[in-house]
Amino acid sequence: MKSPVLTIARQELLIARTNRLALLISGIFLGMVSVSGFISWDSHHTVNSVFAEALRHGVTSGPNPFASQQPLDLVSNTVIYIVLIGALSAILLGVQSAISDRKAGVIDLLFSRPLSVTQYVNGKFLGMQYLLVLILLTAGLLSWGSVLFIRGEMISLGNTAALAVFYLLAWLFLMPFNILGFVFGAVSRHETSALLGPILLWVALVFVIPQLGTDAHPVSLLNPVPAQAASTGAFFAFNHRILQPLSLTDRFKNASSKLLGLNNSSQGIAAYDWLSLAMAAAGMMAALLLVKRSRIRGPIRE
Amino acid sequence: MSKAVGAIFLKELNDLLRRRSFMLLCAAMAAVVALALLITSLDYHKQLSDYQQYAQALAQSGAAAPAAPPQLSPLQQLRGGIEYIEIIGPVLAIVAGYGSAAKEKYRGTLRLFFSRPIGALDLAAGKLAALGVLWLIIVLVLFLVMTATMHFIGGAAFSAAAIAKLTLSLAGAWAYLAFWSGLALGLTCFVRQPGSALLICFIIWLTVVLLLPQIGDTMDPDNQVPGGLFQSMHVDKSNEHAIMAHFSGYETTRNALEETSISKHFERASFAFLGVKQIYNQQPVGFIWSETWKDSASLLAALLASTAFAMTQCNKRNLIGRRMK
Repeated sequence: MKSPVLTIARQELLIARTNRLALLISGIFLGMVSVSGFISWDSHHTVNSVFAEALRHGVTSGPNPFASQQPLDLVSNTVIYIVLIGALSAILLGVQSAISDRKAGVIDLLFSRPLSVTQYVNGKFLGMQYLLVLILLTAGLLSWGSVLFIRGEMISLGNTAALAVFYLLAWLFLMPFNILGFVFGAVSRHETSALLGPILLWVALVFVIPQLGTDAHPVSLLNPVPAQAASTGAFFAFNHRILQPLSLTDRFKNASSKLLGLNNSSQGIAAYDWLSLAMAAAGMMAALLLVKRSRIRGPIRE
Repeated sequence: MSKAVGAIFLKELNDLLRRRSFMLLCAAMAAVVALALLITSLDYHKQLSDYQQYAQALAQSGAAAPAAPPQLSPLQQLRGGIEYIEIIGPVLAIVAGYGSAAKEKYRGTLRLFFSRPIGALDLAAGKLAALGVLWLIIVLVLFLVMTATMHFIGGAAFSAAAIAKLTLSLAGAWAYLAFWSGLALGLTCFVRQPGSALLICFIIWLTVVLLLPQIGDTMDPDNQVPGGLFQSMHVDKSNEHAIMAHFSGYETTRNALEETSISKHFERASFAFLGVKQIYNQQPVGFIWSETWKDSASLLAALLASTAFAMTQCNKRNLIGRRMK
């Protein structure tokens, strides 16, 4: 006999294949991952030329800031695309997953069968994670391929492993956003609030929380480099310390920088950042269990 | 304004202002803008206090007086607030524009509505006028929030010229927000399924507000090194310009990419009026306008295009001629 969880998960994959908007945003994400290597290469190439020009003009005598550039520096822009497009795709995937059954009126039919809310939610979760992993796996292969193509030399085993772990980290980072979208989609009475709620929370996590501890301007937070604590003031130092675990995007940027050896840092694992992201994923999984049958079966309006 | 447009306008404005969840979101945006200004003020006061301590220590040791203290330019301090309007504002504008058309589609009131003798453009004109007035009210509230925060917490005084520049900057914000509402209204009427229109709007927002400017910023050589490339090489501004003159093709491509984003035009015009970009700081309005009028004109052109799009899409054929799936 088939497990109801696997049936729901399989159905989730079938629905996703026909969801043109989910496919579009996933396509944008994969497209940006493909070109990010070329954008990085082009800008790095320009920086080297600018440095050479500065030397020729005799206006600098310092070392080239990009002299010790790591091969995986070419992936640096992917970090921000995961924070921007990846997280929003994960949210939309979650919201769509929850509201599609409610809008189509299938949810009542489903629960007329011997199916518990936990089984339904687990099936949905499994299906969504399968999709996320599939997208990230494709993105990983595209990143690896673009680094190989641009550098024209084989990527070392160590760097390949670092890239693989980076995409594992990306999955850990995207999972809470995906679940957040699902939870909002499952409990909201209106389609607008189902979409708007998680997007606004994402805005708070990407812009507001990091700004409170760093004094960084919102637009500068679109940079792959993690925001640093403001150099002055007890207010910022206190906020930075308190809000650090909640600043998921900074935790992801920081762990990615360390993994990929960006900004001339030595490669390694940032345990604190991994722990923060894992706790956020665990917290959201717990929130998933709180979804009530009465809410999930409720009608959804504009 | 015809009688029908007037009636639609009033009904629409009333609906928008009575939508509690939307008003709550606008209040949240105002709070975030105020928070950004508070943070900037705190940072400035900390810098000033550090400077005073340093000056006092120098005076006690009998050394020469230090350079002038950090200057508070109230308009420059508004940068964070403007950036929040640039990023979060379109999300709210999309929700307002979408909601304006989606409610009609879902409530099924359109057949009754179009059975009345109204002109082909009356519905769109009434809705767009209401959205325009809504954003005018919200921009006025933001103006008060910004000036009050800077005055009472930042301790800054605004001159008449500064008020005029802030007004021009917020006029740009109004055009920017009205553009997004018009686009969302038009798309919601155009697309058969309103939910899909909302998603498409968010994808456009992601591309135009976040992605295109980010690519442009990433390609900026000065943004490649933490703290700035030229600063890390100890290269001053005049030499920076001389060096970058050799990369004019690259800079033109980068600029063209940025200019495809309406957000960047809003940002450039606002930052020029607020003096965030140093070359415009303390300059007269006429000078700033002559240098940046293209950004304001692009903003206006985008607003007119989105208004025209909404006017052509918000009609009987789209709203009741095509059934929702």
